[in-house]
Amino acid sequence: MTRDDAFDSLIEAEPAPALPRLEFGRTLPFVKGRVPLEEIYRLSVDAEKPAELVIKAARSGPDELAAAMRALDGKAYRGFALLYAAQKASPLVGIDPRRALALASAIEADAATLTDVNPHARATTPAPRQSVLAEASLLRAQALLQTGEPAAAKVALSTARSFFLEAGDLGFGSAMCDYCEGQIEVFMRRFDEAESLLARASAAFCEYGQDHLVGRAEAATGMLFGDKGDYERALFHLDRAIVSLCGPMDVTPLTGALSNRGSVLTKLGRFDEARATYARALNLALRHGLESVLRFVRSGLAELDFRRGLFPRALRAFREIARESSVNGSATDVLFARLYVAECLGRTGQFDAMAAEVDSLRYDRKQTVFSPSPALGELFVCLDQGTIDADLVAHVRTYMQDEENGVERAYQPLRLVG
Amino acid sequence: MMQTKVDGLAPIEAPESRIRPSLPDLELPARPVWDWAELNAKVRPRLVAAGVIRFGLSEDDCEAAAQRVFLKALAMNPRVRDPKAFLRAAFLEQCHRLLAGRENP
Repeated sequence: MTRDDAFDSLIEAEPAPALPRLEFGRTLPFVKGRVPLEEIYRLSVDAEKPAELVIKAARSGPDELAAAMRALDGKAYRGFALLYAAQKASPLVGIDPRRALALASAIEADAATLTDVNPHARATTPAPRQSVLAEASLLRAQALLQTGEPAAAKVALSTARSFFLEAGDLGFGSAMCDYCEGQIEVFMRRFDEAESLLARASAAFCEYGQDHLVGRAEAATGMLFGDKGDYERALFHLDRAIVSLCGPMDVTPLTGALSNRGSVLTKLGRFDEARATYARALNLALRHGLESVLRFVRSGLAELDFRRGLFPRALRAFREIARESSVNGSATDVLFARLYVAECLGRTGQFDAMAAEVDSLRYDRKQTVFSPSPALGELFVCLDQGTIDADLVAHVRTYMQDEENGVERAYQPLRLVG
Repeated sequence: MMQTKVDGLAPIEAPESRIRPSLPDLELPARPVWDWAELNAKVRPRLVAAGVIRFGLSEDDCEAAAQRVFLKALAMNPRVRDPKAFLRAAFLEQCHRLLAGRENP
């Protein structure tokens, strides 16, 4: 779709433009069967609370969900409630993707009795079956991606596209699918496809005037280029995202985009700007209690000190992060923080303490779920041989961070690469 | 390492990476506040007039198209923050489809 200035000037005209008089008069406008919009609007408002109750029930469990779905039976707003429940369940995807999947299934089953869309009728159906099924499939795709099943997520997304098409939604619904599929492609590290999809989504969201969605698509594109190692382009898209994410409902994605910007600036060696960006992210994360982002920002600030060569300060920060992550974070967070701790110790000449840290890591590795790693294998062999140093720790950490980010490459022992 | 996270959203806030942070609570987005009276009383007739004057479509077709895009906006309510911009773009798309249908019946 392109700009249409003539169309826009008519929309903005004051007073409203008069319709041209027809030479031979005109037939009466078709109104039979067209439900007044005010009535449909009221239905949509009435559907809000029940939709939220359905989502909360889905979070509680299958029995509660079934009861909440039964409570919608016979209600005039049932279609809208199902539609809104599917759209507003995205936070549930982050909290419990299995329950989000169960909700998608329940909505799909319940949608079977809704009225079909009739693309040829002038009396359009509010919340038709196809629209509800499209949203349920979109929710399913998000949940499957969250559970690490991108292939299944793509299948669900293809279903969503088909239903959006049947419902006659070729614009906005299609853009939602592009946005979701772009994220799946990023996850699968198919960057070219992801870039194209996210660019299309961003352009469509812009056309529809939804800046908050433009911001999300741009933030995802920034992450894409960050993962690719193209930090200049990552910065460009993250900056666009930050400009677009300005509403009170955008705090979480804005804080994420800011912390990613800090990370990119660190990698570009623009340390002062990185610190200022992290400070802004930290402020938002603290004010809004965004624990997960807070951990990321603290790690970013510690890495910033590390890259600036402020090893004693980085050491303190990474020790604190390792301690906190062992309580609240993942095993991976703990592993990386402790590798940084070991490296900082090595860089500050505390070789015995570095060896003790790596030895402790080996002990903990037996207790936890770290998968066998050739990189850690070399680290522990060198520890036993007394040849461990900070460069080896850095080499191992870099490989494992790449592995965590999905970069597939064979590990080359440090002694072979110099 | 770039942050990979799921951010909560009414608009689709799908996973943006592999790390899955725990969200503190299920915060559902509030319904965007729309000035429904203005949309219905002011924007709708302007859409219809623009469809008739700009594209030469019939008033009936434009009324039906306006009804469709208003329903689409309501269907996407949790995701639509600027309903006027949404209605404009969706109606323009409907006009182009009607024109394409007229050229290729």
